[in-house]
Amino acid sequence: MKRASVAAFVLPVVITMLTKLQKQKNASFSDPDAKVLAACRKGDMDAFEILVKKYQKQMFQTAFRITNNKEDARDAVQDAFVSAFKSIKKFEGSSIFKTWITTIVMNMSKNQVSKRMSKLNRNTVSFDDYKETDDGEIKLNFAVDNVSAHQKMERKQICEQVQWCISRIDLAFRDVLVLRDIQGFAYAEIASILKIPVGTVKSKLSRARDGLKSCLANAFGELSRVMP
Amino acid sequence: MLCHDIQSQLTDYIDGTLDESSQQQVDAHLAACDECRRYVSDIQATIALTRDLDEVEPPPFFTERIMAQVRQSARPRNWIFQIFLTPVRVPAGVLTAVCLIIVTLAGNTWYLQSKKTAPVQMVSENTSPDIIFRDIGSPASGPVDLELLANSGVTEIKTGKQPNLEIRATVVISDSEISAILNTLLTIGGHIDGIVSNAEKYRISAIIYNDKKKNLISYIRQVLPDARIVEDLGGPKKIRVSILILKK
Repeated sequence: MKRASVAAFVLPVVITMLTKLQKQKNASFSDPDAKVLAACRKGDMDAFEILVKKYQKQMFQTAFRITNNKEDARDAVQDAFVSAFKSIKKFEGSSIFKTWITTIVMNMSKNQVSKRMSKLNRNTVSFDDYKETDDGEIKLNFAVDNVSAHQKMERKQICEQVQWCISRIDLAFRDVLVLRDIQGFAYAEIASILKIPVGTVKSKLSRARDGLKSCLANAFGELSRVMP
Repeated sequence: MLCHDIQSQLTDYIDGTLDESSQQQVDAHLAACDECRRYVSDIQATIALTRDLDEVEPPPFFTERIMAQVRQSARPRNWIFQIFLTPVRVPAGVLTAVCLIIVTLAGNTWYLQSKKTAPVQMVSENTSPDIIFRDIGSPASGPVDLELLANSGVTEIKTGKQPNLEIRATVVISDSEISAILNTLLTIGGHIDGIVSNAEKYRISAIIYNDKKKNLISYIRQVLPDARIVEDLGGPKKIRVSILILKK
């Protein structure tokens, strides 16, 4: 009787520990940063710097595409790495480091957007933000309104326009678009980062792409003309 | 297959994650439907434009900046900060009860204190004074120097709230006589917190111990025989005294 009750207490603990170890083992096989992470967990600052050097640029891209503001992106990435370092011992390796740091950067970037929005007291402009001209033509406020202008438009302007349109997408859809079409994450990874089902990732991506297409079409006219 | 049917499959189709048979079905539909073909083409152009975005350069010394912040956050905090900044989980009910107790105690203490010694609640006089000052002395500060008081630079007359003892007199009085009255007030343990002197009057506002009241009154009768007591409410341990001397 006594043995049975001891076993009842000990078994779940042993199973949990084994599962945890298995998770870490699995992750360390697939995570290219596993060795560096192990050093980081021991408080090795130089090891953490290796991770910062490796991912800071990519994380800055992600943050910038979400925030559309370099200062906000900088703050988001800095805060994300600080937060990651603080909780690196708790990072059990259930996902790879890149996915984990991207999750934190996404959250920090969204916080920055919310802060800025509340500061400016402005809302996201919808894709319906059209202006009617004297001819009755409907176009977006920022639109370039003739074909020759499109042709002359330099690459920089195109990039700015695309970024502007991305920043107009509702934040709830923008994150999926950035993760998939800019950072190239797989559906399953995006689902893991944003903690949503894969089906939701696909439907959000579809809506985000559709919205971006409408915005770009309003700005450029025929999209094939400006296609790289 | 209708346009509506392929909508849900387009994301997978464009990303190349559709199974072979579904992909063939979508291909067949696109071959026959201009509208859907144009839509897919536009979405592909959109993706191409998004993927072709120029890389944005992080600010200079970005790694160094991040690491500086990381190192700062890793630095062990002073133990006092650790005590105060370590989050403590307290049930909301307990927290509310503690707050209520603190507020009640603080309110009660304040009320009792305000009943004991009335705070010096000052009001402006109508006439513009020549010498104005407040809180000029206590027994420890020694004799009152009128010249010093006159140069104190205070420009606003302050008097206390309703006095417990108000003495009025209409006399011709010199500065030295006033100085003597002030010094006596200090000698008997009073605390002068307001005085004004102008062409029409002197007004002295002070706080004295109630048991010194008789001494003060007898002294005033000596130096200002015509003085009359307008109000003598008595009071607790300390009382507020107002001495108004109108110049003839």
